[in-house]
Amino acid sequence: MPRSILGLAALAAVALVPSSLVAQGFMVNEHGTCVMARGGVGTPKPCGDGSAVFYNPAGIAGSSGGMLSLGATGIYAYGSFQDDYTGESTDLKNSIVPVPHAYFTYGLTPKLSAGFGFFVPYGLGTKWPTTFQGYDTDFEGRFNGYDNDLRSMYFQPTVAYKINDLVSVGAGFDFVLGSVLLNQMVDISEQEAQPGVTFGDLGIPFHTQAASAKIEASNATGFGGNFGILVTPGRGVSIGARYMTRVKLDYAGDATFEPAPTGIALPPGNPFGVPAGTPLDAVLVGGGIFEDVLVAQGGNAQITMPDQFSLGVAVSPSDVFTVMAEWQWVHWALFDTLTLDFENLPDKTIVENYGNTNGFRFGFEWAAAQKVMVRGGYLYHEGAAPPETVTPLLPEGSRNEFTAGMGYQFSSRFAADFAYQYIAQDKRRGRVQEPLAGNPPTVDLNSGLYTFNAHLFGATLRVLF
Amino acid sequence: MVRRTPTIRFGLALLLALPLVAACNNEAIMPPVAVDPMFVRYASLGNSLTAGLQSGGMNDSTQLEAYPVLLAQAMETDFVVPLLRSPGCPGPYINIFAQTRVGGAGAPPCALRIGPAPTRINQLGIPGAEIIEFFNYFDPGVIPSSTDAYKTFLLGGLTPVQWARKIRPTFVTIAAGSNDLLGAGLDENNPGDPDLVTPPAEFAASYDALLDSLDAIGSIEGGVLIGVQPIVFASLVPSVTYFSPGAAWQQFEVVFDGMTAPLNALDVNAACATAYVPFPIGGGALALAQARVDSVLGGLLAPQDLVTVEITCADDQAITAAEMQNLVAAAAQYNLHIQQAAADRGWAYFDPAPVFNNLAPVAGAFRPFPAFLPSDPQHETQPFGFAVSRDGIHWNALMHEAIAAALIDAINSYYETDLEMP
Repeated sequence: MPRSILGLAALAAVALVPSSLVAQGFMVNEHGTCVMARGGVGTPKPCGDGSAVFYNPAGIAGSSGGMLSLGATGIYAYGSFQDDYTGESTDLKNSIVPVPHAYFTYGLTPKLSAGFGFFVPYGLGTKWPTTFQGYDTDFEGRFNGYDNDLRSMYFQPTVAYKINDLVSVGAGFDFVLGSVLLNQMVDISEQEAQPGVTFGDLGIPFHTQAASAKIEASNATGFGGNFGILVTPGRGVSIGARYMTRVKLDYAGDATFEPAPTGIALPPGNPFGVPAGTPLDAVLVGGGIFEDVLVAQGGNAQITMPDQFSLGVAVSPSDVFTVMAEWQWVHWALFDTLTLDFENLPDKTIVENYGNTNGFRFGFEWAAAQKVMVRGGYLYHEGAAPPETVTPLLPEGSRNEFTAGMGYQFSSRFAADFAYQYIAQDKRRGRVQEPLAGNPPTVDLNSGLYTFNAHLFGATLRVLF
Repeated sequence: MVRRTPTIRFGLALLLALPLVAACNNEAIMPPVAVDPMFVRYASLGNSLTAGLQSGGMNDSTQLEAYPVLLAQAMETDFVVPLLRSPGCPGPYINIFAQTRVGGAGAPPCALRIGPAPTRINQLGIPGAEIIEFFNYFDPGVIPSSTDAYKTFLLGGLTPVQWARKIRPTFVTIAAGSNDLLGAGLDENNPGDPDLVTPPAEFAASYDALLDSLDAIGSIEGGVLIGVQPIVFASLVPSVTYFSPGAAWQQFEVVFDGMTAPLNALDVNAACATAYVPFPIGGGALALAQARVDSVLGGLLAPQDLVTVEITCADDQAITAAEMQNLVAAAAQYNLHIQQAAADRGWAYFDPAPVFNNLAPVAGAFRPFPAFLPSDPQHETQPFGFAVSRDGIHWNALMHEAIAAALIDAINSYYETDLEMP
């Protein structure tokens, strides 16, 4: 029975598409509704829903019997880019995205426990329209990326051991399955019409789309580990620490190109020597751009999911009330460049220059009644992206987040947790264009303001057996 | 009640202290700035004068001397010009009589744009653009012209209105109409051909359509509608050199005839007394005559074989008095409509004619006849006068400054602003 449930859980988890943008960088931290409700604090006092497999593997030590929990966090992210010059805004088109999690734990002995977890600690999803609202021109950011998705699904078998009443330790082995999708428009003004002469040199406007490029890779695999320790130095106090290693993922995929209308009908006397009214698209097709340059081809990329460390303390002034705090450090400096290595096209290096981040989380938990647990919290995350790399791909920044939730024990075997989280990201200046080839990005390219907020709804059901 | 231990107190203190690190740090949008909010996004729609074509060519130097650039500087607003590389597209004339240009004979006909392509364009002047081409490049009634190439080189195939939609201007200047007349004035087969003049009613309809398109953008707070510029019509500016009186050309024929003898007797044509001859026709005839004279002098041609090249001021050579009257009448009707359109929208109307009229009496501003002879000290540098560029039609930097100054006065007067000439 447990084995079949676990199998179904894994299938369900893969079927759901984790795609989110709710913490610094492209990190996701909502992998358990209980922890989510108390401000994301999970390291010093893990919840009893098995999410300790992620938040602190030591937390499953000492458990008895088996426990299975299944849940998901629904993320409704919304935001916009407002152009400095025109003042016009374009809204994100993200839909509600479910991010699943599943845990299974089992107490092998009073001191030794085993568990398995599925979670998605790194992922992003950004969908932008290809047109501005309000007037009939296009969203400039579509050349950076208009439909982007990155997922890193972690499958983690875990063991934990309770050394004594003071100290427990735990460790997990992470098998990581990654995929990435990038959709962006190709700017013909930067392409060569003839050797040494770009279409832009002939007057074709900046950001004239000629094709949509789809870069897709899946089934990248990597390995890592997740380690935790839990210390209870005194009654009502627990301190936890946890370190999850970096995971390097090598992506191999394909780049495909579809013609996109340029919207330009060439006027009389054009330098291409074609009759007035000829679409520029026809010139491009006739010139063989989709046969010689923008042809389907393979490509490779490498992205490292950064290592992260967290340290926290929980204090229970009474038997029914606990307050807790946690600090998290994420090694985002590893995400400095993203190089796309194409078979035919020149390699493309996207400079990100991310910086390491700190997150500070605070939460409380109150046993309001025998079967009811009330939770709340607040967290603050620094942004990982420097001012020069805030783009439509990931318009990221510092965030203040507020959480609330409750747990209810339906019976001795069944319980459920519910949570709500609001994310208010600082408004951040950013850009909608890439630097010229070979040039680093600078803040001079920033041309507008990104806003980002999100509502998150979490639910987890747990079963003891 | 549980008694608090030192560990608990430490934990609580940590909990209380940590929130202090949290903060909001919202950044802000950086909207464009100008001396007045009305000018934060300025778009200049117009023709070759607007674009900065001088001396039959255009490059980044001439473009930056154009009046809209000066006006934008006065507004202290960001104004992006689609700059052309030196020597130009093509390079401006060094000597129009010798047909030498900046960049020399080896220069390409168009040196293309300075890259990279700008993210937006505010300078929306298109040389040769008739009124309908401000929003439609494919009207069958528009006669193909060598200036058509600028529609791609400058605006990438988008019309000025399409660009305006992109930049959502708060203020516009529109200079339209000159090319609806100039096409007739410059026609090689029949200068002044009435059939090539855009009928005033048609002009008015297109002009209204242009303004309706701009109104639909919904961002424009003010503008200046510029009247047809008197670059063509000798009756407006009697001494504009490009269309010199036929009599002046005939007088010059005598000069050439006098260089060799004997020649056929000069056939004085009464039509030249009232007609205006475009420079290319008159100049071409005289250049041909000069070449033949040189051939005789060089022994390449026998004197008896010399054929007089005569300017007859016939209809196919000159703008006749009737044609000129038609052009002037059309210009007047254009301007009436432009003025009314400005009034209807509460925008300013600017008539450039007074600028010319003020300069016309100044000696050397507009020569009555081109400095055709190489012996003339202005032959190369100011062949048409010090206020006209070396092609005889387009303004030079001095004239652009004069126009910009007058425009600034007009804007300040109408909108009660304090723009100052840069």
